[in-house]
Amino acid sequence: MDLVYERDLRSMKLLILKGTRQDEAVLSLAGRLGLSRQQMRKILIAGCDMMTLENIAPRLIAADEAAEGIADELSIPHLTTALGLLSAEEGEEFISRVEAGESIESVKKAIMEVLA
Amino acid sequence: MKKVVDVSLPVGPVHPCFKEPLRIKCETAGERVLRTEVELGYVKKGIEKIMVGRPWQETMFLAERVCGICSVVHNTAIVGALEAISGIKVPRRAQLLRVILNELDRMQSHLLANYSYCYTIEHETLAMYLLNLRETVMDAIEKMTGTRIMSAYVVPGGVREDVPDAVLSDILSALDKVDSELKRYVKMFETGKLIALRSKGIGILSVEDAKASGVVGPTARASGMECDARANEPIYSELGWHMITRSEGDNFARIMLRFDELFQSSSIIRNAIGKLEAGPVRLGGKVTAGHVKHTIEAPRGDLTYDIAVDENGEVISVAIQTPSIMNVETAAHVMMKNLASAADVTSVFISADPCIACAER
Repeated sequence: MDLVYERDLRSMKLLILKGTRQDEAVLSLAGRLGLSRQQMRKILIAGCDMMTLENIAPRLIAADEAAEGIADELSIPHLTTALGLLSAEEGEEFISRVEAGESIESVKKAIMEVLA
Repeated sequence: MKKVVDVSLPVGPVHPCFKEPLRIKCETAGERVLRTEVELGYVKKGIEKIMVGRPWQETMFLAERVCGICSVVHNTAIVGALEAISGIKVPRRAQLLRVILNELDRMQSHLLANYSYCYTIEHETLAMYLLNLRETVMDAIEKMTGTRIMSAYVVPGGVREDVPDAVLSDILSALDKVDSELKRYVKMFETGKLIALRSKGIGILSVEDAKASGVVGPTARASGMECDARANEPIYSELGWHMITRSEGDNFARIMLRFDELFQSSSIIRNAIGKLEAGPVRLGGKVTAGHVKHTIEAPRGDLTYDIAVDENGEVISVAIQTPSIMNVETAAHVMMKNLASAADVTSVFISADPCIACAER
């Protein structure tokens, strides 16, 4: 359903992501996921609202502190609790795939497909 | 464009309960609010970008214009950052005067926040009492600095001018009035049955969610998180400051915590005035090149200035992390998630003391 009274917020979201602290956070998350800055921005603009983008740095710092083991390697806390790009169930499913023997790289690829 | 929230209840951007414009898009199922999305961009000033390339003397005034409610703390934070870069010392009397002004600023901000909450839950009598009491504090600020807001009182190396004894005794009289009247208003809030219905158990923020979202200030402390930048400033411990927390994490806890902090701020100011000794209020100093991340406790929580200055005193880069960025985001995405009644959207949001001017900068 397309709502005619909704504005296109993409340009304003990009402005938020160009802020100093937000840009640092985008680069750090892009580095974790093996993406370019532009690819990361595109995913964040599509999947997060303006307020989450403003608060991206503190949320990713909290996720860095909470992450450990396989979840850390897959950046699951960053994508679920911090940014809401994946649901908690999806995050658990990706972790269990690695625990079942699938390689980290192939699961990361699957995560990228969901994010795209 | 991917849709995040299927809007079925738009709140704002212009709403009688909001002091500033912002739009909350709620997805509801009957009365229940499933999730929300926030739309900003109505008061974006771009102050960070305006500051770049300007001399520090100008950025000091620009910083105050981030927020009209807590302009004092923005002034104090940017000057503190410049002093940290340049190793500028502040005389004892000026340190105490800064504490007095910042605590008065905290008091007026907390009174305004609690006024807004009472107004939002339709307890207009208590709201007006609190707003009237805030005027007493605003008058004290005006007597001390010459103006109600944007006073540029804090300058590198001290404060702009000394405060005469007569004004200090006026401040003490104002505090006497605030303390005595506030006790009655707190009792009204604490024992009000209708207030409890709109406040207790509403908009709960668990300590785990508070940690995950980076929430700060009274909003975090009302959920049991011990975070207050004043803990890193020895002068506050010397003046009797201690961490105040509550464990409930609901609307009621957030408002009551601010009431508790009002009494504490009053006590800190009294102690600071008691310890004032004659001496200089402004020493010299030169702002030098450097980069620093400086955090102080604003009325709403941690306020950080990440600033780099060149050898000519011009700002190379600046990032202002205001507490409202974290608090507004958490209010919208965590406290309102699965809220039982859409009628509580505004009260939950206002209980986090949102400042959109700060959030957008």
